[in-house]
Amino acid sequence: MSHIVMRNVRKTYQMGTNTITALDGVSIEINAGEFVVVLGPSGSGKTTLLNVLGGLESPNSGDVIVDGENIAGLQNGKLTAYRRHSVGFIFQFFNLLPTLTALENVGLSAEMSKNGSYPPHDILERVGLDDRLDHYPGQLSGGQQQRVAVARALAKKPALVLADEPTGSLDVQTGIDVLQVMRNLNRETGQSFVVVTHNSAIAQIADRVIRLGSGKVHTVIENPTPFEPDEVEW
Amino acid sequence: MVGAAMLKNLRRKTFGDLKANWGQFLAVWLVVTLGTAFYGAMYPAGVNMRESLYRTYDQLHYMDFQVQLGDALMEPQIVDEVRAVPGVENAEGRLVIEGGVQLDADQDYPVSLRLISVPDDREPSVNQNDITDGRTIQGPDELLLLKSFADWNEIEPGDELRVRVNDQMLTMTVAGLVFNPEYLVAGRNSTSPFPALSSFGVAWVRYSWLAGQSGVENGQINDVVVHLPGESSTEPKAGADDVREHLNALFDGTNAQVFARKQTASGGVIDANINGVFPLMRFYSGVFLLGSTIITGVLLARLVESERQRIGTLRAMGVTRRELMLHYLTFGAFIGITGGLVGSILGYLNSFWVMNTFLHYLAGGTLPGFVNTPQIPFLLLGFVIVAAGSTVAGAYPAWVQSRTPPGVALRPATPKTPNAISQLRLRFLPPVLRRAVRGILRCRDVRWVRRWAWSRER
Ligand SMILES: Nc1ncnc2c1ncn2[C@@H]1O[C@H](COP(=O)(O)OP(=O)(O)OP(=O)(O)O)[C@@H](O)[C@H]1O
Ligand SMILES: [Mg+2]
Repeated sequence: MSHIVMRNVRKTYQMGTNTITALDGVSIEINAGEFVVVLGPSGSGKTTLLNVLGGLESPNSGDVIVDGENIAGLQNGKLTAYRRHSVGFIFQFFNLLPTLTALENVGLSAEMSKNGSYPPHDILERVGLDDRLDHYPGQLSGGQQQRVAVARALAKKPALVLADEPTGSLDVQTGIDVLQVMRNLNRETGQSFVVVTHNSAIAQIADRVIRLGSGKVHTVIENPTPFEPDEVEW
Repeated sequence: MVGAAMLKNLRRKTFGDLKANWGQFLAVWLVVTLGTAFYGAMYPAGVNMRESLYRTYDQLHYMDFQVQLGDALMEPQIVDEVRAVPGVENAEGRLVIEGGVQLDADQDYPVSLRLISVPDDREPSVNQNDITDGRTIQGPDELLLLKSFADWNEIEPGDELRVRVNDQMLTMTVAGLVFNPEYLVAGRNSTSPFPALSSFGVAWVRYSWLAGQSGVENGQINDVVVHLPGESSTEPKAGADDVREHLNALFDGTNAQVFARKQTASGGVIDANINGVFPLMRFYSGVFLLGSTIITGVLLARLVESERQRIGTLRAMGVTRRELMLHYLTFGAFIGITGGLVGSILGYLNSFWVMNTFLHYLAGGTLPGFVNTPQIPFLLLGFVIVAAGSTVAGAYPAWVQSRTPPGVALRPATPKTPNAISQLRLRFLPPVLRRAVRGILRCRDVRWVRRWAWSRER
């Protein structure tokens, strides 16, 4: 649902006397309801791009306009509200809360949202974890944790879902299943998805593919006829 | 509270975290509990020791003034004149004779036994005896023996003693053992006020017997003890100065000397002990409370710091700073409230032990006036400080942490200037403390301390 415009976004990190430029003048546009894939080598700034889009970090300069509001300039409280109600984040390293069960991890995200939410059971069932509801993250495999993280991000019905390598630690079939869940939700609800991956095969299911290199946008390709995840040659 | 109350899964995290890290939380809890327990034992014990002593004084009508006539004897009418002094409640005339006692057949050193007369037909109205073992005197050759002396020398009621009076050895029976307010601390006199129970004891005998043995006639006396109305807790009692002047005037021209409580052996030692112990007790209470609050603060701050990535996750999910702070505040509040409560109760129980230890050392037993009133306002103050302190200790670091942008918090923490802190020489501190202080400085939430330490370094 979110329409996003990034204009000339710069993000740098200070390491002693060195300045590391993670995003170097990034300008992109993402239409409401699009399923976008971001590709790029390690260190090219993919995670940083998602962080800036999700209001997890503020850029040094440039605009990030989400549905007409420039979140680059928001103060803390409003940025928190933006993350709480509008963004579902799937982290590269899952980041589940270890002392909560799968169901509670998803429940926490769901109960915060003002958009209403999917029942945590149902969404866990959709990612194939209905028999693991009461397990703690420590009792789940990496792939299962990843799916809980996906369910957590989707449960609160965010307008924008940001996923950092959501299939990175899944086997091919589970990866396809998860992508299919995401793609279906994207179609059903019109939520916008931005998915970071190393796997260029995934790019075939996207409406739009953004390639990053050294903090710059290399190419943006629109794909009017995306494949379904199960049609892709993996 | 509204936000946090709404997020029931965050509350579940609280219980989950407590269960998962119970060892660490228990350690912090013990620091809080023990700190509060010692806080609650020290100063209140001081208050109640003083109260117990004063109550004992009042129950047994401890003299406010003692008039020692020296070698001279006086007619008993002088006691009536003392009683007639305005402001005097009661007075008692006595014979006080220095005698001795042979504890072992082959004992070759003298053991002094001070013999004090009591009226033949009634209990004395001043410096009354509290009989802890045995019974009161029922015959002329019976005596009451100071409990601490009897205990030290393993003498029991019914034992026979070889008593020396006026160079005669006589056999007396111990009727009972007593506390006496005049000899709570069994000192000989104000110039050697400390007890030497192996060589100095006190016994109470009938006046007629003591007068007979020492050749005193016509009811003459050599010692007058005076009691004023009022409570010892308001010492000096109202009108004491006037009474003293009257007594001085009354005995003007004789060798008599008038002593106030604090000028006598036991009264002086107890007064000095209580006055000496009191600030110490207060100091210890403060140190324990402050120490445990600081340690709790540092430990909780480190616990919260280790939550950095989780705090980042929660913030990324849109948990507000307020909710986050309330979440972490719960741990501190839980520890502070339960620890403070248990500590206060333990402290109260502990104060019995502190008091008994001290009073047994001082007076050789549990005083008849023993009280241990819970010092509610004081305990409450400690509880509030501890509970508030640990609540803040949980909340403040979380508040500081939540300022970090979640995107930064989610990446593993970069050790901040770790080498710089290791290189701090901290020469102004004793060597044993340097490592500990460096540890505290590494804690990210004490920036101002670090700034201060750096400023000292130059
Ligand atoms: N907090 C930070 N401090 C310093 N440098 C940082 C920080 N965060 C990111 N960087 C740098 O910014 C660049 C982009 O990092 P980013 O995590 O966005 O890469 P990425 O494309 O997600 O890589 P990967 O595919 O390996 O996850 C990297 O060179 C990284 O070293
Ligand atoms: Mg990354």
